[in-house]
Amino acid sequence: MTTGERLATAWLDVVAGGDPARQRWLQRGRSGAGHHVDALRLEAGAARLRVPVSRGRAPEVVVTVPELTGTAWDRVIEAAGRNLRSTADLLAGHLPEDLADPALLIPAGITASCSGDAGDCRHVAITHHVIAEAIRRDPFRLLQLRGHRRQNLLAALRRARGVTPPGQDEDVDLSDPYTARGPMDLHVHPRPPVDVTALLDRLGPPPEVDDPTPLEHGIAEAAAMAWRLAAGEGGDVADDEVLLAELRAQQVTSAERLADALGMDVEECVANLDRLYHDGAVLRMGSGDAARYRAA
Amino acid sequence: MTPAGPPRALQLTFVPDATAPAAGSFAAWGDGDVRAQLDALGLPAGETAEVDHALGARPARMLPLVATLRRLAELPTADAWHDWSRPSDAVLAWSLAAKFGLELVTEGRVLPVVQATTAPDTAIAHWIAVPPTDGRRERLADLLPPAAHAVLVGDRPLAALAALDAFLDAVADACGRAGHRPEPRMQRRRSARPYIELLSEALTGRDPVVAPLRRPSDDLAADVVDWLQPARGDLGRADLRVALRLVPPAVGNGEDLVVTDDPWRLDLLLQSIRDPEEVVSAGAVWDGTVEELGGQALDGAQAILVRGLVDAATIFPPLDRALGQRRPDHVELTSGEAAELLGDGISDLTDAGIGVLVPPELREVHGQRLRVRLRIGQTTPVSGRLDSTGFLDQRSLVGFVHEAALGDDALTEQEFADVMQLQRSLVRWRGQWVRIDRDEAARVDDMVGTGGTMELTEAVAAALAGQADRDDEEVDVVAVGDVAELVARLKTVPPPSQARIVAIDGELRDYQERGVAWMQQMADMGAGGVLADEMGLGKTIMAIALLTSRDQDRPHLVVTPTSVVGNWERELARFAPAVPVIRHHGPDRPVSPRQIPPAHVVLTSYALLRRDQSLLSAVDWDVVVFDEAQQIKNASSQGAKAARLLPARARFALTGTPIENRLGELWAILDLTNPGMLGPQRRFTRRYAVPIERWRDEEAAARLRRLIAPFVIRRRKDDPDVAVDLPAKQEITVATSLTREQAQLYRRTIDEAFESGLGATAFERRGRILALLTKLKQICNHPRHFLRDGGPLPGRSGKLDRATALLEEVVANEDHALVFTQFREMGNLLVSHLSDQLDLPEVPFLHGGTPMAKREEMVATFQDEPDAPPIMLVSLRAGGTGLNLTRATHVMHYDRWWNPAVEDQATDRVHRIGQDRSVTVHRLVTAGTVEERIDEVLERKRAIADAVVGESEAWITELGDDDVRELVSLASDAFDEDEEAA
Repeated sequence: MTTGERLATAWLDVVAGGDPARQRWLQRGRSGAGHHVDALRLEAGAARLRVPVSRGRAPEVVVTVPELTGTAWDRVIEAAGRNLRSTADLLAGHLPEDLADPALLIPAGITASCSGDAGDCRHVAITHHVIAEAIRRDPFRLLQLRGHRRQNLLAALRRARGVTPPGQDEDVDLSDPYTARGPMDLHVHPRPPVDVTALLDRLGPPPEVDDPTPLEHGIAEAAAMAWRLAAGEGGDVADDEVLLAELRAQQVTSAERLADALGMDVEECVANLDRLYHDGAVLRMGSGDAARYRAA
Repeated sequence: MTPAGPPRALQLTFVPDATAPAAGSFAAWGDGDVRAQLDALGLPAGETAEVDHALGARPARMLPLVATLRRLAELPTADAWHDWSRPSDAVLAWSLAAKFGLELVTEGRVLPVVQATTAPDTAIAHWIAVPPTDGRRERLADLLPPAAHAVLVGDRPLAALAALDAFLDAVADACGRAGHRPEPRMQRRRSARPYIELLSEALTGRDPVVAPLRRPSDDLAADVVDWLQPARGDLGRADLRVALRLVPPAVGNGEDLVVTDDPWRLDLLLQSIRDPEEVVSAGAVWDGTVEELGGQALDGAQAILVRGLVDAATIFPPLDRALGQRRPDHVELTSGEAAELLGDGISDLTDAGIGVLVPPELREVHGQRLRVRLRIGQTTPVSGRLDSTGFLDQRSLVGFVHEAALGDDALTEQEFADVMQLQRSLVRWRGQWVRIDRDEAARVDDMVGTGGTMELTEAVAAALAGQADRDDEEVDVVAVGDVAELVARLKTVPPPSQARIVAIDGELRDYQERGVAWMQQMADMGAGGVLADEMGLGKTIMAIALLTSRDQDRPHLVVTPTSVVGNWERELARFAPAVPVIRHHGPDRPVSPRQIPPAHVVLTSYALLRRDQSLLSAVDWDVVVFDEAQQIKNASSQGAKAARLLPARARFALTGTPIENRLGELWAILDLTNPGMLGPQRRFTRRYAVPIERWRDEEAAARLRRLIAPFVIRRRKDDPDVAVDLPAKQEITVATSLTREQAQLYRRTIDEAFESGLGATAFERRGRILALLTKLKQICNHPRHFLRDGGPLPGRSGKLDRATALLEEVVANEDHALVFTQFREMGNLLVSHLSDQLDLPEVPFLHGGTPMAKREEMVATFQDEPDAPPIMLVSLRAGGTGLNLTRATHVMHYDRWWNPAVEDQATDRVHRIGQDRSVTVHRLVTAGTVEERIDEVLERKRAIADAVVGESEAWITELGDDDVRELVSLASDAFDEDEEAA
């Protein structure tokens, strides 16, 4: 059983509370729960779902749970920090197995209300199944419901190990505002793009994206442009790249405005634009001084 | 906080945009003319605005991002600038950041992010850069001075790291959008299109808005942050990182090939990023027994170790074994795993910010691996022009074969089969660990024995560099047979005794004979070369000695700037009086190849080379010499094209500028003297110029040094074996020519003077003659000096143009010069002209009107300040006393006082006790004018100068009319037809 499955099961078990009547009631909300997961709104301490009904306004169910704080949260941190593998899992985006212990994350006091009926109606049963399904798919949703995101957990782990939180603004010392602190000999070396999607491959597709092909394409295009700008293909290619970029930035413009922004000679600018026009990279409207250009 | 002084040079501050990174831009500001400074650096002009900086609100110009980025990425590295021309630290640091940003994007270290907006169904998408945790980001942030980053965001100055991150994101976002400047359009929209399409459009186009979303934007944005976490880390400042140390098993050294199955050991360490020598073992980190590393407290060391190990394990899977342990301190590797680590593993791990320490014996493993090598061998003449001495003829072809190499050795078929059978990835070959990559082994197996042919020049270039560029990949090369012999000969510098000195009047110095012997050897081999000795070492006489020593079965050609043609004529007459010289110049110049017989030396200018290209390229030359070859540094210029068309057995270029530091120039000149040796310009730029000049690629630089070493000889005056031969003070008379404008003014002035008569009384006569002399000197100096017309300075005076070229060489060689003139007016013209033409900050001018305190300050600045301009102007009178200017090693007398004692006194400001370097004195003399004739008189009288000519020019006024006319009249060939050539 996966971590998500164990926690989802545990959620439903806590809701049923070992009472056969409640189990039967809960069972009635089971079918079709999977279709509603996208409609579930999670926030710290509450989950909301509008359950579609055949007639009238869809009732809203609100399930509330206590947020994880104090010693309960400390126990979670302790469990997550127990070994390297757990941290590795967390960093890689998986909820560590050590946290699948229901005693750590499943709340004791789950309460629910429904705007449609009073009491434990069928809408509430459906909502619990939707929550369980959401947890099964992504166990971090449970953490989120209890008021924490993955980053909170990682940050808490760091604090537990005595690390100061990062990203604090340093004070800016203006006593010597024009001098670098250190020699200017940093090693930098752009190289022709190869295997540019390695990083994306490592992370997998971003949230809500199944097929990242368009993003891979975008990264490859960016890498190719960066290589041209680094003059890996020669200075003239880089010059064209700059001209086209400025043209895109100005949208529709004249050679004078372009030349002005780039600090170029107007004649040189016109000559380059005409060449790019003939290559099909630039569109031209009008002629002579009235000519306006735009990137193709 | 102490108040900061004003900036000395142009400052750049990055101003981030809160919505989309690519909308950020640079603010350029500073004292003085910002627009002119931008122009001087080649940066775009931008638009006027104001920047809210922690140093105060400043008027600024806002520069477009992509154009600025490209130019910053193009700037040479910080060490390549002269002290006085170096841009501000802010500009240099942003230049490094631009190169760093482009490196990240070319490697695909960019990811899309989504930012929430106030509307729940609307988000903004953009790209961010993901720097590796190798410490460079933090070091770069340190290099950004507050001027570069402390723009006010809200009320707070932006910190260096935040500004750098914002800029790197801007680079990623601008490249991702192909330059589109993001402009969010927030109006509500409806679209049934899939999220990925909306996202992709928002990331690549102008409008970064993604809408409508099916999830609340803050929720989605938070998920995206989660998703990024493993790649972007915690964005803090990294001081420590995980490092791995590979330790090989112990083995014997008995046989050629030793194999072991003992495990390799990978120690887990924590390393200081600032000082990579400082490491501590993982064991000590888990124990908490070590509290400090490289002077820094080990705060959070365990967390860093855990994080780093987890990252490392995703890149190098064998490390996963460490994650299963509670307190791992090492991992054992099989030889296959160790081989993988030594292959791509090291660079992958290093890229991800994990240090890898490899003992010296393993550092060469990659270079020594089983690989294909080119064996370049016998030449095959195809044109019939190749004779038995192995001429470097471009048209010869050379055969090559692919061989299997392991370590430094080529493997025999049997050895290769043995190695292939081992099924091991790391073996010990002749006492050295070598790697055998199975995939590469298969490729080697396919290629071994196959071969082909290449042009001889390409083969020699590959053999010299030790590597060849085959399909964009550097392949090792060994030379055998003819090519090996040829390369060995090229690499041998002949001793001075080998120089054949024929028909030269005068003694050559030792280093000059060595230069001649080298040129002779190169010419004998059918190769050319570049004699790049520093100014004053006698390049002209060395070239003349080469010409006179050749078989005189063909004519020779010398191409020089117009202003130097006369100089060559004089030097030829002095050192090789027997050589027939044809001055290809003026209306009477030869028009047919038949008028150019063998054994003659033809002198011409670059201007005429272009004009008479068809005639000059119709002659079969023996040796062609290009003097002041920096004239043709632009390979696409007409002059360079005409030069390339000249058919000759050997071509030599003479130049005094350090061409090895200017690679575009180096290519243009070497491609002329040794066609094809550096390959096509585009490939040269990609393989050498860009990596060396912008990214300081040491490997490419070493390869280039090996490649050009046989073809470029450059000695400096302070080289030990040159210095012993040189006198402490060297005096050179530099002959310059008049432009047409100068010649006309000169003639008219003489005619007018004689028409109105030189005066009846001695007093009148004295006044008129001295006035005439002054006018003529002014005309020789510059027409504007005489006319006071405020007209342009370049191209109107042969003397000024020549002086500029000489001083340019001085400056390029990092030397210092004093320029003396007797005219305050001319001094002012020189100040503005030299500052302008040589890209110097304002050149100081010390003259009679300079107050004493100011004078001392100027002298101290010139003597001691590293970033002071390397040239100082001194009026001859002011320069007479009390100055100690020993930093200069060059003295130029722009015009003449006609009193040797005064000049010598000025020269002694530089050449005096305390000066331990040799000093070169350049006296500029305009040929065919009064300057030249009086110079001749003075040369004769120099020994008894004081007694005869006294303190002034009064002696001239004592001469009779005819003598005066003879002294001042203009020689018929005193100016050049072609003024553009100077």
